[in-house]
Amino acid sequence: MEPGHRIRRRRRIGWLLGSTLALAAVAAILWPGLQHWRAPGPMNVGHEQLECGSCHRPAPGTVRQQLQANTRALFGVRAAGVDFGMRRVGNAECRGCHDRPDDRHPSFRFLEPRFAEVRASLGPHECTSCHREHSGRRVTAPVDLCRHCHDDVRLEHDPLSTPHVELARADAWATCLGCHDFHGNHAMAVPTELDAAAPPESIEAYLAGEAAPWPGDIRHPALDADARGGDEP
Amino acid sequence: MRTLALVLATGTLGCLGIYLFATAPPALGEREATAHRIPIATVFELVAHENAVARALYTEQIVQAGMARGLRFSEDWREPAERAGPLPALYLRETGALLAQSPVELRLFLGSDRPINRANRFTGAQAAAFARVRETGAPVLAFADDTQLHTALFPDIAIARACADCHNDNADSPEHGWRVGDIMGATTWSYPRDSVTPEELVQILAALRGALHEAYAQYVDHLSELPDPPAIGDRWPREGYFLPSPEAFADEHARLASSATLATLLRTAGAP
Repeated sequence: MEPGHRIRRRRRIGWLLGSTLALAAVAAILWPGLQHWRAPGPMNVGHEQLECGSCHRPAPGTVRQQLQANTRALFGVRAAGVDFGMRRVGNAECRGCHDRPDDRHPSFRFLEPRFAEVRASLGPHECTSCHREHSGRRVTAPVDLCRHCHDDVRLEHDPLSTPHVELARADAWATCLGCHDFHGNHAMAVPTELDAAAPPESIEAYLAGEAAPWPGDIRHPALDADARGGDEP
Repeated sequence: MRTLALVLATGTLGCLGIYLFATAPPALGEREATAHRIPIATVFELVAHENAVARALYTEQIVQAGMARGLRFSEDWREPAERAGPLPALYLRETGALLAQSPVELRLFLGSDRPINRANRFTGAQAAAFARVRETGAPVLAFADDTQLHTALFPDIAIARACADCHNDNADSPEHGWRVGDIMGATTWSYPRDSVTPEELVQILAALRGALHEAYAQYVDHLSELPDPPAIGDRWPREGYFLPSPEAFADEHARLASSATLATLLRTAGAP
């Protein structure tokens, strides 16, 4: 066999093998049972059993309609563009499972004008600002987030053994969550002794995904919690 | 060769243009431009009226009259051990939360420059707007750039003795000299567009009434778990240890609010 022919044959075999492997890899990634391979990171704590489609829904319209709408928006013919491919995941998807009647910090409340500064810095009006998905954690916001809104914690009759004002002055914002559950979803009495508060390291561990440091039960388990293998907020 | 490239490029651009612009399938979801749209200022006026009537009904006929009959109202009303109902400010907060769960995009908040809970104190542009409300007694409308929301502040007035007394007696209140008729704070309303269609206005009003009435129904549900709940039916606390049913409360609210609401709707419908 001529050397040139051999080289062409090897090249063809290489293309064939490469294409087959690439197709197999794409098929494996698109296979429904392997959908988590496509995720940008591990699911957050309590979400391990969720399907991609639980949050990621197709955007309205056909691909052509979406392209046309976005092109029109680009040329100023239309006021705003639309989602392309998949719908943007927002608060509505979170509320589908985590809606509670007595949330102490519901996301909508931060749409009030007076929260403009914290909207710019922390973004608490969006659930994903503090619970960024695919991070493998429970909470992605820092433990001292309370400092953004509660800089004035003077109380006429402060029930805490160490007054709140002193804690704020000492920049001890990591202690807040030791007594106050942000969403109020744990049934518990707020301690009046600082020593009885959950220590900051246990709060940090909870935000990372460990068990809750507070003694009370969950007031409102997330919907379908059993099926998802977790009911923490 | 150059001619072929030119033909191909022109053909490709032509096809792309047709795909993106011409022979278009129905356009996606932009809101229909209707001949008649109702300005957001009128919407805010209507919802503020509906809310003010419900708040007055709840404060005077449920809280003030109920306290005289032995009913209790507390900040921690949801705690089973409290055996209490929501204070008027919390009734409004419940309404705001229920409204946020509805399909309409109207939002409702309550705040003050001298609230019992300092976390509810107005700051920044909202504080400046409230200063104008306090000075003039009239609502103030503005547009929030960051949220792209049209916003209106309406005065929240101490309509009953119970409002002033409760705030004056609270140890954490920064103000102890409230009197009936004072502007104690403001309700803040927001909506993302500068006008609505008549259909959208009806949906907004229905959602608000739904939230106002559901907030009261939640209180009645909570009370029914007590060992000695008041009789719930058609009678009101002014008549004894009674509470109106959610249906009776909703009917009374509709009776008190509908006339002015309808008058505004008819006036608006007649506008060009």
